[in-house]
Amino acid sequence: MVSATTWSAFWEMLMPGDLDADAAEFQTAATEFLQQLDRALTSLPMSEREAIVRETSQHLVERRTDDGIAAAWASLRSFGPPETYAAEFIGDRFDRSELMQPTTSDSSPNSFRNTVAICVTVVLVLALLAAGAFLFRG
Amino acid sequence: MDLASWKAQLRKGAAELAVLAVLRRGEAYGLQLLNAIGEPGGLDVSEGTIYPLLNRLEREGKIGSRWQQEDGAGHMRKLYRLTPLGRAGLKAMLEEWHGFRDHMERLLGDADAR
Repeated sequence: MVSATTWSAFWEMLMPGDLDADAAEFQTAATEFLQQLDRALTSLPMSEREAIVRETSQHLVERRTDDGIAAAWASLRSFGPPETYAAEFIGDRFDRSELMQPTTSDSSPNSFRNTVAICVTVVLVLALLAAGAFLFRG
Repeated sequence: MDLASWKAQLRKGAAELAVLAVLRRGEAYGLQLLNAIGEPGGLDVSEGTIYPLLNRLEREGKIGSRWQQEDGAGHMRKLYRLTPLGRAGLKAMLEEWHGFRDHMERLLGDADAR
């Protein structure tokens, strides 16, 4: 999570001095967007997550300072909903690379084989116990 | 026919090539790339598209990046550069692109002549 100090420094840089109503409204909307984006990126490594939020915020700063508040608003809208935008960063890696890599999770072929082996062993032990009990009773 | 959808698909496919081609000229940051690619008659790549694309290209090792404090701008910028892998990828993509373009021009030339 991006700290409050970071946000404070960011906005001071973005809009130094007193804010007019439109700038204040933009600050609120952009802060909300960046915080939601940060939360939506939690499945990514922290360094990458911070870099994405940082770059997005710097982009808004650049739009605001170079092209004015209307361009900054247009830029913010262009990103779309934060969850959708975050999915653009997350989506394809799980669709492609991660699923192609061997993993140590429960879904791997080795894990499946181990589970089957354990089940077979348990069934055999139970069968032996049942057979022993039957023989001793007889 | 949905012309807007067709145009979007056409431009989306060319965006990676365009980014690598711009970076061949030298380092650039996101907004610079966006402006270069989206020049009038360009690809019209949006803010919501460029950064995920850059992120993917960086993960694939085709581009690298570094943060730099900009004196004039008063804030940090993430500068992207082409890597050797990206340069090789660009070369291969350009060959494909030229072959594709030549083939399409022949086809379209035939169609225009009729």
